[in-house]
Amino acid sequence: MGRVNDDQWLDEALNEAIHSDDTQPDFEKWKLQHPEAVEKLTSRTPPTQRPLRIRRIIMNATFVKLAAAAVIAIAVAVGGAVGIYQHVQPYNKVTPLPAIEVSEIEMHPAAVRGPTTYELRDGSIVKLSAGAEILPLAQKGKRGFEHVAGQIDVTVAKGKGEFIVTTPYGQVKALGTQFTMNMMDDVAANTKERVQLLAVKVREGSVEVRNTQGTTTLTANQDIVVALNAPPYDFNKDEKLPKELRARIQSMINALKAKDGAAWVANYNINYVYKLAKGQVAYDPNLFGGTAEDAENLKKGLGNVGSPEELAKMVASSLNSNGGDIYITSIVMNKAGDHAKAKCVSKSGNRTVVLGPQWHNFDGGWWQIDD
Amino acid sequence: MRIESLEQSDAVLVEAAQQGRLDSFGALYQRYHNPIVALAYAQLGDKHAAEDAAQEVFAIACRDLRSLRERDKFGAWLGGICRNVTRQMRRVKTRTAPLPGPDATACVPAEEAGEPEQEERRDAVRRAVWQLPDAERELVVMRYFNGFSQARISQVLDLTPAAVNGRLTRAKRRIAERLERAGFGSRSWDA
Repeated sequence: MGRVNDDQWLDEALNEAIHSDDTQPDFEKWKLQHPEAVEKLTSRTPPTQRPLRIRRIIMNATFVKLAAAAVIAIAVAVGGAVGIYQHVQPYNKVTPLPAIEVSEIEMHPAAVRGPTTYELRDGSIVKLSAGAEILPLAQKGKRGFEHVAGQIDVTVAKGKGEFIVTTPYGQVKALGTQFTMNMMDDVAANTKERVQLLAVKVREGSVEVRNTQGTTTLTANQDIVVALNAPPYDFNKDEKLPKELRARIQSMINALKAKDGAAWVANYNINYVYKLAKGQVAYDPNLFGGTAEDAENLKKGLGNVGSPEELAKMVASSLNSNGGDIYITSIVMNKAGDHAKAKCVSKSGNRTVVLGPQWHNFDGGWWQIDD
Repeated sequence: MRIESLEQSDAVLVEAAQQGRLDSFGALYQRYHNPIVALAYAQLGDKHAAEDAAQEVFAIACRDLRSLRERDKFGAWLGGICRNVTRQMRRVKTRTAPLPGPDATACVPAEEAGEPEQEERRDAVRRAVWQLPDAERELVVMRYFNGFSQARISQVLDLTPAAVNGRLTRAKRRIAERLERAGFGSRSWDA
């Protein structure tokens, strides 16, 4: 082998083989050749009105942020001023060309990119979302494809043998089934860290998710997350976690997906938070996810609240969830077995957020203490 | 000394163009024409066809620009249109002629073509590039076709700079390995 890692020769080789510097953009010529397009851009007709998508502002609010929001809401209500919260999130629609039917046999595998619906040779259907990409297998007799990026929805044609989807995270093997795969390679909007994972969810039948670190079989309505160089992870099957904690985590996920503020706040020990706001209990970082300063701000913001029920309603009404997908990638328990911290990825549209919810066992049960 | 960027952002140009300013669309055309030709070339393997594709991409973009809401994502939006256009061209091409591969003469003018051995090496490099998965081939072609910056590549391919770097490194490693196996490795190039 030569100097594979010393790639100066390779740069030269690629430059020599591919480089082209004789392409000069000529906009004037292009304008003359495309009068219809120019006319459409420069005409004074108003742009197409699209339905506006209304979203809540944030999802990962801590209690302190919620308290601040509540104070603002109260102040606004008292002052009779303008409402807050909802803002308009315009959306971008990439105008796709007419869908291409790719039922004929292709001589070479070509990447297929979404948004589109693609029928494989065996009759299996792959729906690709915008940004998704697959690479159909070229070998005859093999069923499946390579999943390169994005979210896809797969319906495997039944009764034709093994069907395998390969990914950098491992392979997914299926028999006559329906499942969704979401391969993410994003930068988190809040922490700016890179988020790479594969999420698989089965709608019908079963699939086997396998990589060098482990194998898991999923049946209908089960899902799993696979990070790079890590075994497939499903917290519901993590025997290290107490059953009640798993239920609490699932309850948080369900509430966020359903945007159900009451269900979400029910995961917190609202009596403790009420007492903390009233100054009736001391701040304890194991029981309240924020800092001591956050706890002080909580007292200032919600010290006048009348009852735990009133506090619960205020917090519930302040939930800002955009209802996207929630993926738990890992959960770490402390040695004492009474505290758990998760790494969680929330994805809604193009927005990815990394969260670190925590739970603690106190007052006779597992309670979420931070989101 | 304070250095300030003299280049208007995509978002500013797109907004002006959406209000009917053709000169702003012209600036976007100048900025993205060559990257889009390179992206189309990566898909089609034919430089003339790639230039035709780029013309069509800008025609579609011009017609539909007002629908673009995320103005700072203009490059990625254009890249998406380009992939759709080239897919349709490939589909038409498969019915009438062989599917794409690197056209040996597209990038190297006849007067620059060297000895047969040198040309054989270039062919080997192009073959190695065209054997890459689409996503890696796009990156390699964009990087070497016209020396586009990492930032411009990131915009058009809608990748983070880190992802561009990572994929490019992987792609180059694959190319190097294929060239070594084909007898056109580093020593051959030094010769």
